Amino acid sequence: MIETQALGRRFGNYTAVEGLDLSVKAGEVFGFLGPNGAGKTTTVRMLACLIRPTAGTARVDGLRVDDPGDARRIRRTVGILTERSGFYDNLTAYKNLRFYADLYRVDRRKADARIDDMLDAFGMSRWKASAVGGFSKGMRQKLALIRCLVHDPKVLFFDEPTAGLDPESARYVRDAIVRLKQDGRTIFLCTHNLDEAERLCDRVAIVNRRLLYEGTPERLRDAAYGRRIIVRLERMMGQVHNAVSGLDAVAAVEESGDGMILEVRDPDRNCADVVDAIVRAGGRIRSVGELRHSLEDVYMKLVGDRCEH
Amino acid sequence: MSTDFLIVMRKDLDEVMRNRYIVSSMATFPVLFSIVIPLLYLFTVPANVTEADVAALGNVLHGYAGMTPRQAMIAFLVQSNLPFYLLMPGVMPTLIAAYSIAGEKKNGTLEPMLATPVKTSDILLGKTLAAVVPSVLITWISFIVYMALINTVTSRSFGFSIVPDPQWAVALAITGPLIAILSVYASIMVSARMSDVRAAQQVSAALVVPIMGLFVLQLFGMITLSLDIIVAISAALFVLDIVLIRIGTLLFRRDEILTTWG
Repeated sequence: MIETQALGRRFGNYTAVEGLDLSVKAGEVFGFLGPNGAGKTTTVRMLACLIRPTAGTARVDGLRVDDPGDARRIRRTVGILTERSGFYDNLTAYKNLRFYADLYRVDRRKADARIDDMLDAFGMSRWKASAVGGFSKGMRQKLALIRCLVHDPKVLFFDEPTAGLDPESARYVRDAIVRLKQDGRTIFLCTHNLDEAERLCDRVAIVNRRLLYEGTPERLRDAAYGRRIIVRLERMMGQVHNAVSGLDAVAAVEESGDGMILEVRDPDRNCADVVDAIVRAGGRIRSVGELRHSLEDVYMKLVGDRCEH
Repeated sequence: MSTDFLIVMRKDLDEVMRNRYIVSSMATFPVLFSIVIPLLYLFTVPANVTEADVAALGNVLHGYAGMTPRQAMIAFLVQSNLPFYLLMPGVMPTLIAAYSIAGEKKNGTLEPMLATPVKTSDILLGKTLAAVVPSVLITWISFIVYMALINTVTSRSFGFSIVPDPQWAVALAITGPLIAILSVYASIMVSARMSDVRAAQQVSAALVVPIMGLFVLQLFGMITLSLDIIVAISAALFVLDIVLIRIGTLLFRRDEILTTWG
């Protein structure tokens, strides 16, 4: 649904995005992670045809972002939730939404029905005729979500959708993203919230002007840390250490109190052999489990490593 | 032809009409120029204006032959008001345009609008019309009130209507709208560099000075806003408008707005 090839954007001498190659499948929630100034918003703006790339190209739903004719069609196909909700404070919720529905050329009756349905679904019906100026941040964000859905787009770009929201509103927005995924929409989600990315995204990319990693959160963990098994023993013994160190499946052994952290190649296949070797060496096992790093650990490692270089 | 500009125009007008500051500012001009000032002229010119007074103002009051001294004085003052009707379409659009562009920038509403399929030329046209049309209409309505008031009070004693004449017709129909367009595009250029609406509205000050200059020069008899001069001013404004429209159109592009506007 979204493909980028060596996509780049410069602002004068400053390179905001460089050589970005991405592929997002239809119906996928794709997390786009990176520190401030990593080029996330610039990338979204290029993909939503708000600004032009200065290098490379991208396709959204088969249309080229750098072709002026295609750009208009892309804007019709995508919905974008910008970092600032941006509403006309003097106008009512309905008039704000209706303005965008008109710009997207949604048929009047369809637009009204759709606005009513969505205000209802987002629990906003009773504020339909209220001026947006009096809305809380959470209400504005819900309204912004409705706005980007008013023309029933196939692809959605969400730029920090839960930033600055209270936990209840943030949860509401996350639930909405899950519902939108269930509807079969493709969602490109820029976020700083790694817990959110882990819960919502099928795949993630970590960027810092250029692509650092792309894959499932699981694969990213493997790439950053390898898969690790933590074995707790009743008592740590030298012969157990020697026994596991000699196994081909074990890439690294680290003693930790009464246990060991083993980096095991292909643990789904080799874990049983490792346990067997420990038992044969006289070790008495209390527990065996997989040491899971959070996406935040992975992110910090990847982004931190790149910053150090 | 796309009609998206009408959607933008309708929204801008709807928003402006709910802004008390803009509505009250715009209401001040017609009241002042169509009612207060003409009443001052009509009722403060003394009845005993003499030939000697008029002779002393000979250079100022040329062209009013055949009138009594008081009539000449009133007719002159009424005609001197013409620059005010160029001031109105010059100042009023900046109130709307600065609000609708710098205001959109400040409130973060430009990006969601630019994310829709609407062409930037339609956004620009919609915003231009939302600023120009009400300003020009208010100017025309104000003139009708001004004309009615003046002619009602003076027609019996003068035996003819003082306004309108060809100068007024050209000034209202052509010069005023050209000034309004100039004012909108000047506001766009200023708004591109600043997010503060009040600061962007200061562009009107730059237009007030030359227009008031015309008023003062005319009052001191240094210039007469004859038909020829008004046509020449209109021609110059037309050229200036074309230049400003080109610059404004270049500034008002998606990439430009999102990357170089402050």
